[in-house]
Amino acid sequence: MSTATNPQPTAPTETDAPMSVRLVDRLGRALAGSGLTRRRFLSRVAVVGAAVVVDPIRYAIKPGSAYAQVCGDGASCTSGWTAFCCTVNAGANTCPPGSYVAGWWRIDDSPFCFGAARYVIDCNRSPNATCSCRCADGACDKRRVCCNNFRYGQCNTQIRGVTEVVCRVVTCTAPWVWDRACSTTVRVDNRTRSHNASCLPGRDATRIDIKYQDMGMRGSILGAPVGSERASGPGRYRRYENGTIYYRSSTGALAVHGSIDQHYRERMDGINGALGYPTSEPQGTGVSGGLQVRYDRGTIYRASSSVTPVAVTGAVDTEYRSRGGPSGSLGYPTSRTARSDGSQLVRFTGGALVQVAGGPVAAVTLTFLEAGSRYPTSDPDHVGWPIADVITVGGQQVQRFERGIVTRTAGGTAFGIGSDLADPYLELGGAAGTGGAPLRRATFVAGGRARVLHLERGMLVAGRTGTRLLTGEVLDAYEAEGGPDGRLGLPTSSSVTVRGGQQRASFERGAIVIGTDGGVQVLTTRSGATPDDLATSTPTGGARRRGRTPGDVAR
Amino acid sequence: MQVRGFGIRADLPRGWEGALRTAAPEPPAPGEARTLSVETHPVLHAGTFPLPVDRGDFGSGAVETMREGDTFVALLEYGPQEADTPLFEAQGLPRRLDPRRFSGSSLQRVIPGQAGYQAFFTEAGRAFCLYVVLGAEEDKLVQVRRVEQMLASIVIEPTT
Repeated sequence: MSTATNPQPTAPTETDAPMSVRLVDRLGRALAGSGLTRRRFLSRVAVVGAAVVVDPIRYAIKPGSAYAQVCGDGASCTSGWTAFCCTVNAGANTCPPGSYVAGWWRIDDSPFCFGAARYVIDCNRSPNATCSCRCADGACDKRRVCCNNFRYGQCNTQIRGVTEVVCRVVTCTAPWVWDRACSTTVRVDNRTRSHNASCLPGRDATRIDIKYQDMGMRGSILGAPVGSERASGPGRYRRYENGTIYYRSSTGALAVHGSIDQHYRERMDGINGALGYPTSEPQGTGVSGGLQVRYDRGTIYRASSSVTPVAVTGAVDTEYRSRGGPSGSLGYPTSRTARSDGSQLVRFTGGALVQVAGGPVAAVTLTFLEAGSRYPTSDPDHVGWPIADVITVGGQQVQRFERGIVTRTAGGTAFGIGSDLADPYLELGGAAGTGGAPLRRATFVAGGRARVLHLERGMLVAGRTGTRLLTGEVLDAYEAEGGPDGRLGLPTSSSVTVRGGQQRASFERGAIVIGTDGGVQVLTTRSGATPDDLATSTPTGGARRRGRTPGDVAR
Repeated sequence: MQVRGFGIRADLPRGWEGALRTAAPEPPAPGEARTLSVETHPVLHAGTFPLPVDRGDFGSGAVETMREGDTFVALLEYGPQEADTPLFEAQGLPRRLDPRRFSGSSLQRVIPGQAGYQAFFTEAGRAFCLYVVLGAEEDKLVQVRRVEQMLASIVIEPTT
């Protein structure tokens, strides 16, 4: 603000203009009457346009009322009223620097607030600031600036004294909500009902216009508009430099600004995407200064201004919030991966939540999640995303994934097991079963014809000869013979105990029989015999009994 | 003429008329719950001219009808939480006024020729603003004396 002591308002002066501008001026004067500058001509055009929009019939009947239509009564400098801030503050409906909120009055049944109360809030000169009394230079708001030494007195009563009113802010929001430095002591002046400015929303304002006004318009965090208001689906929206105002009748107008709105629009397809319309404005999460915005079908969270927001949608968000949201054990979301089928995986600082193709939401530790995807996607132990919560079997954590499980070795290392071995492993009782917990990740054997999972008390083999579990002394003998890569080849039966206590198992090229006395008998295929023959013969190599299997014997 | 109510009493000198009122609370918008009720504290208006019914709390609608010799006084109460705050730190209704403190710019709405005066104070534990408008700044010595006579009749009682 400039320094001045003159209490009389001074009118703005015109500057010298170039020829082109002067030509326009001449045209303007020819069109709009003598004595008009270009700026005033354009202002008049703008005001006339606004007046036509506001009340076309009245303006058509009485064109001279255009200024009164837009700016209302007492809009001249000599009328003695104070100008609106948006007129003198670069379009910002906020108190300009060097002023403070000093008081307010209410106007009942205002046409500028859909028939509800409108509030006019005085911005008075700050005690240490200076300003000069002058006339505003609005299109039709020519009221006084920094002239009237007067105070309504309901706001910032910690500030002593009375100073000049610099300008007036307008809201349809109660002042004590708009600024907590204001009290609820109401003062009314319905005589000012028509007061307005061309930079303020008119009588035809939308809810979005009013929201923007109450936020401070160009002085708000949203900045200047970058497009016109648009309808989309059940609502409407308008974009601004740094955010968007969304409106639906069910939610009212909601402003979302900054990186959350940018993420919503650019990464989540905005109102046409998975989230739908916002149902809240940015609100604190209560954790470390984070923010969140709620939407029809999810939430966008931002842990801090320096990190990228993350969207969490649908049932995953419901589950996350039921677990306490950012203040729960999962902490803030750090990334989201979505598939075209609607599946989503959200990583948090303390774990992850996953929903695969409409299935239940599964919680997973980051360790298990990493274990499930540790190997290349072509690897059978790349098991994808979890599809169920972790359970404990035989003291060992096990979690089902899309293509297998993730569990821990007996030593505690998490790793994935593809379905070829995971399914029989679980059917056998997992870590509580005969074989016990895995010792290490599965490996390919027999030239890639099978995979082997070594267990605490067994070997699970899955391959072209089926899925077999070898245990006990049979397994010991098999490994002594070189295992799957040895002369016996792959097992064609699991270890079984037959009547009389004999243990045995058959293989592609032989059999192992453990006698009741502990004697080990390794039988190999006679010349000309095929593995299939052995597969259907008794492990002792005796007379063939086609149609029976070692499993039959076991029963 | 006597006006009385809300713990305020004024025996207005001859030639004055006055009224005490509170602002009507704003009804909540349809479907909107009121989260914080407004405080409708009393406003005393007194004038040496007919006060129009439709007038603002600081006299708009009335001051426009004033003639040169007219005077308008508004005494407005604020919430009790404001009492003794820096803005309201002055104690007691000012009953002696300095004509030099009346100014053509100390007005809510500046009307040529008029002069205004505004003072915030606390009395009886209650926060108030006194606002005075003189119809003619040139005649303020006489008019201020008339205002002082009127102010002398005002009694502000402590809230119970």
